[in-house]
Amino acid sequence: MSTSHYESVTVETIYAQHHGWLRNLLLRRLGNDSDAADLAHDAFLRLLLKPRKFDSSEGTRAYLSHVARGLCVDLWRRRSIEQAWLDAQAADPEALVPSAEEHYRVLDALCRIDAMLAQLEEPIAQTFVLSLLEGYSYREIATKLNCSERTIKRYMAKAMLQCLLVQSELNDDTFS
Amino acid sequence: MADDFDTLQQAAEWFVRLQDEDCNEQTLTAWRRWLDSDDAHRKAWEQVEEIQASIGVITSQTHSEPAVNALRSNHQQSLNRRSLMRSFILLAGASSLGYLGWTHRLRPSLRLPLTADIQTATGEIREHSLPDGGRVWLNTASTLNVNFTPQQRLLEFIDGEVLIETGKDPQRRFLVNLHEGQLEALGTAFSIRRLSQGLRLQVHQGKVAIRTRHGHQRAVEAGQQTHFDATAINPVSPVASHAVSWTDRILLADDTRLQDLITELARYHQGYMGVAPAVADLKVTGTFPVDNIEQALSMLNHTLPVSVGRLSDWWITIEAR
Repeated sequence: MSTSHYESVTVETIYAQHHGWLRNLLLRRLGNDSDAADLAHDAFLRLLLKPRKFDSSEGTRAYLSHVARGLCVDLWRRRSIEQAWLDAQAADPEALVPSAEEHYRVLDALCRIDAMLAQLEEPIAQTFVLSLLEGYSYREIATKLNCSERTIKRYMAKAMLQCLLVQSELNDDTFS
Repeated sequence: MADDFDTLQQAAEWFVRLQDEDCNEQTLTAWRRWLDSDDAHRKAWEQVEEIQASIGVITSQTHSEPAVNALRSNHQQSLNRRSLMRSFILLAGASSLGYLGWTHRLRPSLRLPLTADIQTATGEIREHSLPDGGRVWLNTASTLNVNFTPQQRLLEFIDGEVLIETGKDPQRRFLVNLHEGQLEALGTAFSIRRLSQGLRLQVHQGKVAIRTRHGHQRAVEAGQQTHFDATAINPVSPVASHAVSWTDRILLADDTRLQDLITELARYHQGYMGVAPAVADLKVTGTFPVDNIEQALSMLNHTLPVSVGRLSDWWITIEAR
């Protein structure tokens, strides 16, 4: 099959040719048909938002399975942080159950910050949490972690840089 | 998005200064000057604000403790694992795909010094940049020593499993010393894993020459793998296409024996994981997260007629349901 032929292939054609295959692949990975259907949908949505050219049917499937794998990882991450949040709510007598809309808004933010924290080494991650999520000053954190304020500032700069890098990847995945 | 690394670094440093309780009018003026001096600075700062906004969503709730605790506990669980964002996927194998990095993005890992001893704990997966611009990934419970000199690039592989992507440097040889012998990498990506007996070498790109301590030699090409020890090198066979899925923190099972899957998963788990003989030969297909044993076990629970017994987090057994 010639390259030029493939360049003219539309997302609709790719959908027709590979959707069933992708959904099946996801079903085997996730063991759940509705998750598989959702993620297959997301994978094609991404292709629609960011059209790509493929030089062969194999290349198309390799790309789709790459995207699908990333989506599986995202799904597990999301479920894991959501469960941790629900557990923490259950364990906290003062916790209010957020509205469905609030739940999703907070969960989205949790997923983003969780993805960033996952990239940070200790004690940089701890410094990040203490400063930005718990509101401690650099001086207080320095005392807590028994190191100099200078070190804390260095940790914070590293943490923010890493977060920016993660974010540019997250945004890349979604929009560009 | 091609954010310039240096600009992001500057933005991060400004962020730290502005967060400081000692931040004064002078600092603010200097920051504004930086912000206005370049459009790229402004763009980078918008990224900082986006992160602050996410944090704001979490902390501005009426009662934010559970959300903050969730982040803490989730992070606690991942303390000993290092994720490699999914952006760099290796599709290795003998298929027409070969070894592809779909997207090389801005990569935050720190470059190692010329000599370093690096290791990972059980459950941890970590990536490092080599001094020649190459990269190494250490899988769970692995140890690798780095010894670069002006004459040669030398690694010493001690234990576990590593994936090595060499940098370009035609002047210096790239060698990996092993108890069993030595590997020479010829413009390559390859992985080595220590097995209970001997080693497994998988070559994903380029070529790797094996020289065993007893003088056996063989060149292994891209898409091939072999087992060897000090005394012998086995014939080569094709590398499975999912051989390095662990760099993506997942384990791919394709009609795999339950026992084999659990043996693999157990590498990432502190403690004992056992399979009852009655179900050991069941076949499993699926993608299992290596850094979330709970999720992996619950997937097994859903797809196979097995139940997961647990005396403690350290003692997990899988039995017939």
